Amino acid sequence: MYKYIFKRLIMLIPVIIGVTFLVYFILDFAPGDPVAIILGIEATEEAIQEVRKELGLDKPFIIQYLNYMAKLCRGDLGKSWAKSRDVMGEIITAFPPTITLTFWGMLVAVSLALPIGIISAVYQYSIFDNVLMVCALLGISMPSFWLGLLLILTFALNLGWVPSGGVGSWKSFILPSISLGTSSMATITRLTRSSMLEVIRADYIRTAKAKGVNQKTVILKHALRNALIPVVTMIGMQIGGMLGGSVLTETVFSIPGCGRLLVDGIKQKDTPMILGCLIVTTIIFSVVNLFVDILYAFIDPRIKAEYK
Amino acid sequence: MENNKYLLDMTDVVVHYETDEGIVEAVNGIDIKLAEGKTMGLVGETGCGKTTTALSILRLVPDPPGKVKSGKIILDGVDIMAASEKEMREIRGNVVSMIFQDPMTSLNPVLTVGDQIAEVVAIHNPQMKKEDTVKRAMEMLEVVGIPGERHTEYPHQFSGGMKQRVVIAIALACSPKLLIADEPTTALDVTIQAQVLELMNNLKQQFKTSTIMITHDLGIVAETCDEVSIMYAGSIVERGNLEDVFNNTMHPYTEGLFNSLPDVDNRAAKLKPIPGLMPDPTKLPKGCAFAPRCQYATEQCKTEKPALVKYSDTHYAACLAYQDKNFKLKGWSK
Amino acid sequence: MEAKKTNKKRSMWGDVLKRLAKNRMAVLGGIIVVSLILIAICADFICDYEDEAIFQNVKIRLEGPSAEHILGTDEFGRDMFARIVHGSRISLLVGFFATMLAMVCGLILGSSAGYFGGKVDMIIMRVLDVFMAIPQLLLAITLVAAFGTSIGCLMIALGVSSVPSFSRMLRSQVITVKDQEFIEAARAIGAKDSHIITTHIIPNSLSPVIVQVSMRMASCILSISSLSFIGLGISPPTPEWGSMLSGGRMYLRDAQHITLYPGLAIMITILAFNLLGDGLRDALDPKLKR
Repeated sequence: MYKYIFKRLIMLIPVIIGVTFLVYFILDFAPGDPVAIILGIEATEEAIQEVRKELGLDKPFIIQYLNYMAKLCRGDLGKSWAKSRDVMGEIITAFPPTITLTFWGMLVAVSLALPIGIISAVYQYSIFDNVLMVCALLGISMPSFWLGLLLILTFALNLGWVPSGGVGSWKSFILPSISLGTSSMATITRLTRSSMLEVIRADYIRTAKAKGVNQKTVILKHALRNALIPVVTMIGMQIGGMLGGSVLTETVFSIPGCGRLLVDGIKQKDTPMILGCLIVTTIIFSVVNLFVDILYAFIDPRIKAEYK
Repeated sequence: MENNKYLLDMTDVVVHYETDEGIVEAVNGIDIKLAEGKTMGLVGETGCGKTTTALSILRLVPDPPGKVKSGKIILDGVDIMAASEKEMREIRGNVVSMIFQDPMTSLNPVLTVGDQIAEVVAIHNPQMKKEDTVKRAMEMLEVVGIPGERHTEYPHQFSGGMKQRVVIAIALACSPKLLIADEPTTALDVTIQAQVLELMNNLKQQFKTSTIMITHDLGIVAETCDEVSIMYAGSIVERGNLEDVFNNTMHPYTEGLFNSLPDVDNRAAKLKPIPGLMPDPTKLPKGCAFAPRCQYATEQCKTEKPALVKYSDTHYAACLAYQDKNFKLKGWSK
Repeated sequence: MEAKKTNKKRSMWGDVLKRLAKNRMAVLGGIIVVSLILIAICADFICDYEDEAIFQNVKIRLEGPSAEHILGTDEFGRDMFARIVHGSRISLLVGFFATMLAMVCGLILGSSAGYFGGKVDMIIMRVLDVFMAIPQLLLAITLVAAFGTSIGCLMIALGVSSVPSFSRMLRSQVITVKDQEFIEAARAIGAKDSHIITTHIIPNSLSPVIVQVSMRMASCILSISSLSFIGLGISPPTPEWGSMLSGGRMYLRDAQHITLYPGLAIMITILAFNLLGDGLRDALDPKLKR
């Protein structure tokens, strides 16, 4: 098992290098001269050249990238052009709300999606199943930011139960978590149901029934673990979707998180900030996927065997 | 009561699958009587309703779309149709167990083989301690010729033949009175087939289990069975002991099956396959289902359904041609 | 021989259509999709772009639904109905081209990775792994940040960010099909790789692609409005559902209709494509629905 985890960790390194390179490469095309942004339009030619040198912008692209990576390894993401502050520091202050949001969103999604999906599959075509599948369909079709606005309108503005934004008490995280988690919940519910339906028809389920296993054990012991294999993959992907989607949720609920930092960075053409946000988010996503893969091996012995 | 003579007594069982495309008449009034300790071969082409018949004994016909429409199944004195779900669970795996066709898919990939054997033991022996069920699982593995210590391994670590051995171990772990083997060797290599068949033959004697051997291979029937039922399009067309069916073949379909076998002794002889295909089970012909493919068929065969008629103490056949006392099959090339 | 083949093919698609027509939800989705396309095409006939969707008239700003403006007016006094009708053009257009771009790239990358295997597969998959490691919306945001927010750039950004999932799906599908014996048979009679890919592999891998196209349309349309909502997509005054929502946010308390209707439009559009995708999946794979 340790060998497996170790191997997966090793496999993470080229992905992270690739991602940083890709993002760095794409953002190299970003319009706007950073020096002009920093110094303003009236700067002298000399001053511009000096800042260029200082920032290392006079060197070829690949050297710039290697310099950036060398600094990244020491945990230094450079200085923000717009705010002349450390990007790392900014991200560290902005990340807790984003993580909290993603965590609660995922918790809400998974804890409801799995039971609903299972029950829907077991009682296929019942009223329960039909109603919830229509809800799930609406859930995947509803834009999270629109849902967020509707939630604010109903529960914050009209009913006044919870604040409409910010990061005050735990209450302020309720609406954002629901808004962020809903589409994932719907997706996971649908997948759990269809995966369960497929597994229920498998030959080994018939074998289990022929042994005299009762319905509950058939579902929970024999079917669920097999049905969870694609669901776990999907949960991993959804966490990525949530880290991306938090950009929207944070905008709607005015949460000073990483997503906001990113959007502001793009609007101010603050490349180091954009780069920092993306790289940190991607690294977190990769690590989450690593955990998902490890979980995968616990569920499916065939996967574990591949890495022996 | 005559019923008590038999371990399994199926009378006029009808099973339909109600699908969007129409009603599939999978089993149309089947009678099967099996005495204790006997082995019966259930022979027929793919799709003729053999597996459905077997599943109806365990009351595991997938519902929906499958429905047991009518008939009576008495297994070991219990009326299967009337039993509660709880009673059925106690019967499954304990009184009757089933070996499925494809060993590749009939074991749960995420559970160890030991767990899967121990589970059936634990269900039917609730007083047994966990260690003892595991011990029993290891014993069963040894019985089917797999080292007991491999019980912690997963199905993907076994070959097809080994998996089928595990399935057999599961089926026999509670010493059931009736074992239904649904084409247990079809998915295996010929050499492995022979091993598995031999194993089953030995175990059948060791565990004193009655067996229904579902197959389309008459060779397997000749080797393992006492009696044979030949099935065609959901009905039994001929029934008897080995002698009756093999040497005094009555039904034209049975004759056709024998004619389709290659003759090892006379390699110059040409195969005589049965012309045509099985009828679509959603649209069975009105008369004898075999009539469209039968070389002896008359006008009467197209309109009248033949009943299973008794010709000797053991031998039954469903063919209208025998209303003519002088009728004889043309025989096959032997 | 040839005639027989086409005959069989046609009946397969005929069966699919028949099954699709039986599925009420899928038919509903299909009807909505067709009507949306018609609305987008005929937008100029329904209401005038310059006069009603763009021209600002502050005197009638934030008015609720009335006979003259059936969905009310927005914060600049523009007719909401006209803006929503014209907004459908952008969503469908960008969604369509982004999906097509993703499909074509996905077909090429996925089928060559799956078919050739080995080094080709490894290189393509490693590169895609890198793309997959970035959450999709963030990848689109990055591309937009670098290349700008014109409609063309948006299409490319959304298309590129959808390529990895398309390719992966196709790769696994191709691997399944490749192992089947008719491919072996085609190779045995000396067919070339390109011939095998185009006449055997792709047609036999197509059903999940069709489903994916419908689903992907939905997610691309969602992404456009998401990007516009945070101000990184279509910029005002061009009518776009996401940017309309973003404008309406400020007036959430007083003029809810500005927030309500564009969101509803997005939801109905996405729902329709999802319904159609679900229906297609069930129709193409009758095994699943028994």
